[in-house]
Amino acid sequence: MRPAIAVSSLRAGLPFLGTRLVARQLREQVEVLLAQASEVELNFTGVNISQSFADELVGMLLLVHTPAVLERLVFKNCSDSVKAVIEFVVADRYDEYVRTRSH
Amino acid sequence: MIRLPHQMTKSNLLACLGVADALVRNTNDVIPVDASDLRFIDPFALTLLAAACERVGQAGRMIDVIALNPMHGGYLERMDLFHQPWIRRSAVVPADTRHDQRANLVELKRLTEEREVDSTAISLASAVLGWIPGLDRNAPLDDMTGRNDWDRTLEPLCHTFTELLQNAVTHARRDGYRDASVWVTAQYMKRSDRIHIGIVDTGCGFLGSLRNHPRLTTPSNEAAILLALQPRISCNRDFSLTGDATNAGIGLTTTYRIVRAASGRMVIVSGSGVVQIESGRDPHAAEAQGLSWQGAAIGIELARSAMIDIDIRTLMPPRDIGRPAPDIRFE
Repeated sequence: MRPAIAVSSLRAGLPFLGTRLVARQLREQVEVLLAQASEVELNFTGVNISQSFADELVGMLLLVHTPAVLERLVFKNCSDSVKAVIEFVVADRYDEYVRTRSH
Repeated sequence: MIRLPHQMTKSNLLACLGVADALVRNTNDVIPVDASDLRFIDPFALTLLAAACERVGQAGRMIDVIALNPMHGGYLERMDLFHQPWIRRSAVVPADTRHDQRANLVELKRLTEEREVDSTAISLASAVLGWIPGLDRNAPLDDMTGRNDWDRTLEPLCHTFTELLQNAVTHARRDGYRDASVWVTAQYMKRSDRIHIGIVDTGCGFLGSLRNHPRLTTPSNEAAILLALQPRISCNRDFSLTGDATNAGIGLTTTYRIVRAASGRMVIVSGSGVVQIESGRDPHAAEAQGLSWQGAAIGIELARSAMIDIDIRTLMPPRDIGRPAPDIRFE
């Protein structure tokens, strides 16, 4: 069974998470689980996120662990907005990753 | 003595900046302020006034409000402007309640830490929505989207508050401004059906944050503000991929796009630079005619009815590279 994190549990009762501070805490949890398991599930039930939050979480994982880390992350129960924000951040950071390594 | 004008709003920007400037420059131990003419103050001007008063207090000086308008003076009390150690009030607060806007306002809040941002953003957004007639948090959810009008309006507001507050508490505290704080408030104006937001910080300002950015071709306050409105701009992005570069370049882009989508208006003042955005039009930059604010002062107005239709997906900046992005595993 893959380990799962309920994103809403980071700040119980808040329907929106926006800061890098909280995203960084979540990223650290994800990195611990990635060291122990082949994949990690992030469950976004009941919570929307900002671009900053998505970037600090997913964008930084992509930059630090290479884009291959995306094959080990499962984003569950995302609203359309959360999907859009994650897709934007992944594309943006992937472009940056490719650009900085092609020089 | 400093006299507050009849109207203190972002539409009367130079008057607001003039008061803030006069307070900060005044070197008297106690600065008398006459608010007897003040009839209306919007969230932008209120946060600017509160932040200017804090600057006075930080300099070891004190403000004394010596006169209040008998009809409207109670508003400043209800907004908690006087609940700061650097403000005293000789004037008696009027007991008049005819202009009581208690049901439509959110008291001034002062933030100094990033950990306060999420809860403050939600509480501000929820409070503002709570004052809007007909908008019910518990209304039935739409079958297709699983959301109601409350949720649809709350989301863009949360994006706006968190982006602005996070920028203010993090970027503002650079360049020797470690003690910078952020003042925020919001109000729903029934007559115009618009939500007004004011966020003012006492930090290093846009130019202080972006001075070394490679895309800042002219080192002026206006140019720095305009640059911050562009996608993928940050004070540390594009410099390296290590260390502080984790603070990515999203800047004010989402807020700017929300303002445009919500038939809104935005005023940004930083240093001597002023940038104004009217619904749908490109930003207009100018100098503040000899006045300035050290930090960033932002006033926003959003049409409540237009916010329901904002789709965050459509606000994402377009990608300018044709290569396919990696697959993401959504379940």
